[in-house]
Order: sequence, then C-alpha cells, then structure tokens
Amino acid sequence: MHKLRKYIRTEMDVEFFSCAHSVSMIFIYGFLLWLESGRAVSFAVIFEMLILGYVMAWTQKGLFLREKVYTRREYILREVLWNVLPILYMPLTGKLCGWFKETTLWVGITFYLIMAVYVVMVWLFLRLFHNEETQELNQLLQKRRYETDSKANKEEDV
Amino acid sequence: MKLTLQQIANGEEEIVLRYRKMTPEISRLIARMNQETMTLFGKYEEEQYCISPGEIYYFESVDERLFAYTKTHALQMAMTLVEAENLLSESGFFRCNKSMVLNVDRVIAVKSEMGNRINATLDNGEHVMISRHYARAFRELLQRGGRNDA
Repeated sequence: MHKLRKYIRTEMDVEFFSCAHSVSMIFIYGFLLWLESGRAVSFAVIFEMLILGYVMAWTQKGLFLREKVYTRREYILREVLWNVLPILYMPLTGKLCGWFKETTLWVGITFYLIMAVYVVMVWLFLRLFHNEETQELNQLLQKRRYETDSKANKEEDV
Repeated sequence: MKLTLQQIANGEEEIVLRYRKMTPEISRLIARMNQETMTLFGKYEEEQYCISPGEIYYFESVDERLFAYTKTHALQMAMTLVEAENLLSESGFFRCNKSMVLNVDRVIAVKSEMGNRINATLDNGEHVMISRHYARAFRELLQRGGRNDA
C-alpha cells in the first residue's frame, strides 16, 4: 500500500511536468507551423509530443528518485543531465517522426532553440524555488532552536 | 513559583511538585523532566549502554535491526523504528525517510533540493536526506516552533 501511494505521488508529479512539456512543444510547434504556412498540427504529431513529454518528465524525475544523499558531484551531474537529456530527446524524436520533413529549415531550428531555452528556464525557476524554500526552512529551524533554548533557560531559572 | 531544595543524608531521592491547578507551565515542566529522565538502552559490542534521547543523532533500520547513532557509537536498539518514532515524537524526533528517525535538535542546516527532497546537515557534519514523503511533516514540526508541549 505504501509503495502504491508512493508510486501514485511520483506519477502525479511526472504527469504535471509531462503536461507542461507536451503543451509547450505542441504550442510552439503549432505556432511556428502557422507562421510558416498556416497549417495545423496533425493528430499524429500531437500524440508523439505527448509521449515525448511523458518520457522527458520521467527521465527528469528518475534522476532524483533514489532516497539517498547525493554528493555534490553527483548532484551537479544529475542537474546537467536533467537539462541535457530532454534537450537531446527532442531533435532525436523529431528526426525519427519526421516533424520537420515538410517545413523549411528555420522552423525546426527555431523550435529546438525555443524548447532548449524552455527546459533551462524551468530548471532556473525550480532552482529559484528551492533556494527560497531553503531560506525559509533555515529560518524556521533557527526560530525553533531559539525557542527551545529560551524555554530551557526559563525552566532552569524556575 | 517557590523552589525548595533539601539535601538528605539517606533515603530515596524524589521530586515533589506541589500545585493548586495544572497550568501549561507546570505541564511543560513535567514534560521536560520526563524527557530529561528518559533513558534508552542500546548494545555495542556485547556491552549495554545507557543513553538519553538528546545524545542520539538518528535511528536507522538496517536489515530489520535498529541502530541509534550517537557521536561515538552506533548502538543496536531493542525496538523497532516505529516504536522509536512513537516514543520520541514529543522529544523532537521525526521520521525523515523510510528507514530513519531523525533528531531535529541535531540539525544545524537544511537545503531544499530537486525532487522535493531536503538535505539536512547534522552538527557532526553528516548529511541526512529527508524524503519528499516526510518533508511535509518536517515543515510542520518546524512551524510548530519549540519542543512539543506534552
């Protein structure tokens, strides 16, 4: 039961990021296609992007899934892979599925550039969030220590 | 509150607390005394050691055996991780991942990391991971402030 609950929680996290990745890809791809020729995105491409978004999200989640303390080196390596792997997956899948077969070169290049910036931006926002949280938690920890110490001192005085 | 100390030559040592009405202050004093007088027993190389909860950094369950880590020893305890968690939850101990119960009073700094994990640094320089599942309980424990009032 505990494992199932844990899996569901992880899956929910993955689904959230999967949605963000897929919607971003579909939107950028559709927008560029519309700019170039006014065409709409085919269902096959939407489906492929949804699958790719899910794979990207699982890859990112999988990098930090283990319940252990990572060394600084391990942590940095995982952060780099968190960014690099999804950025590599996109052109590979695009090539495999022929997303840009019928478009001009600039559409493909612009799409991959925007998506690479998107992945890095998501990482930067997450980093910012974790920095804020670290600050907040350390303040709470200090406050707790201060309160514990003052209580102990008061009791000693009594 | 008046404090009277009386030295005795023989007989049993005792603490008598006289009160008109149970106040939060007296409750806190009782809880504090219970914590101070609580002793745990652990085994290290066939020897029994007697320790107070405050000396323990964390409990870890390894191969269905529970160990309590102090500054110098890893003592084998005759209880389960859940029992340790329940027994010491009022003394600042909390479950930090599936195999550990951590003494929050030994934590000097924390760092929020990717994957919703929290990396806690203990005052002996060790790092312990607070998993995502238990991170919320840790936050609540910190937000409650000082020691839990019994």
